[in-house]
Amino acid sequence: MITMEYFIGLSFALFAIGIVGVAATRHFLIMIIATEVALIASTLLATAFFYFNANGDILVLLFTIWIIAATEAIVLIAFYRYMAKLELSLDVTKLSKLRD
Amino acid sequence: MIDLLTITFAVAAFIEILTVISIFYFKNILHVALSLTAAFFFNSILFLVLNQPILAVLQLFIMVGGISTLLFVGVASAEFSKFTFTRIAVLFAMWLVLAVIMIYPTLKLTIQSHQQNIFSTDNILLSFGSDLGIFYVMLLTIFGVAISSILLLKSIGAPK
Repeated sequence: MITMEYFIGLSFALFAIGIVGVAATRHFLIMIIATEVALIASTLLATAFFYFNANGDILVLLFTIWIIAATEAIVLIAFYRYMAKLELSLDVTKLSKLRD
Repeated sequence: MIDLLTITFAVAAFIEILTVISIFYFKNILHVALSLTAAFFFNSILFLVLNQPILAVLQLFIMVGGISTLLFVGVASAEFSKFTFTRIAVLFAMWLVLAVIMIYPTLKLTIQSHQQNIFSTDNILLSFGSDLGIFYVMLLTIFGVAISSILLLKSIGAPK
């Protein structure tokens, strides 16, 4: 029998992996992907609460999260392609300086 | 006695955790994008476990069909990826399996058509006054952001 605690634990685990991945990696694209992982963990948790409590409508919330994830991915992948074209380093520690 | 739903949850959760961890393990960026796509796919299976088939399909449409596709195009078109070839036979076999899995449940369906004009003027005006209007605004926002970001980057990178 699946209870809500399983989904809470799984969502927290995924969210933690995403957040730790954003903090630990220096690669620009991997940071974007880790953010996406955190966002899907939040959608899973919202859906689990909706299923077990059946209170309210989460479709608008889920669409908001998905659209934020998609918008972020679009903008950041455009930046990634721009950086690839200019042959810039993808190491974010190098990008933290405004001038060399 | 463990039921099928619990087994499905356990398997999908375990594989999703593995794919998410493998995002930070792989060296090739295209393999990282594939791991993220697999994580999205097994997350949609968890939506099915939660008895939300529409959300599972939406997850596949938006995350796998939208974001992952964009990620593949962005990664594969840049020179940072070393992925240079495709095994055509494996690709065909995977397509065949997926096609059979997707087509088989629809063989017994009967679709009833409702003789109703959905896209009438009244219905469209009504939809903008309801929650559906919010979705249209969100979709226009994301489209505008995408086009604007491309135009902005083109203007930044243009030679002077």
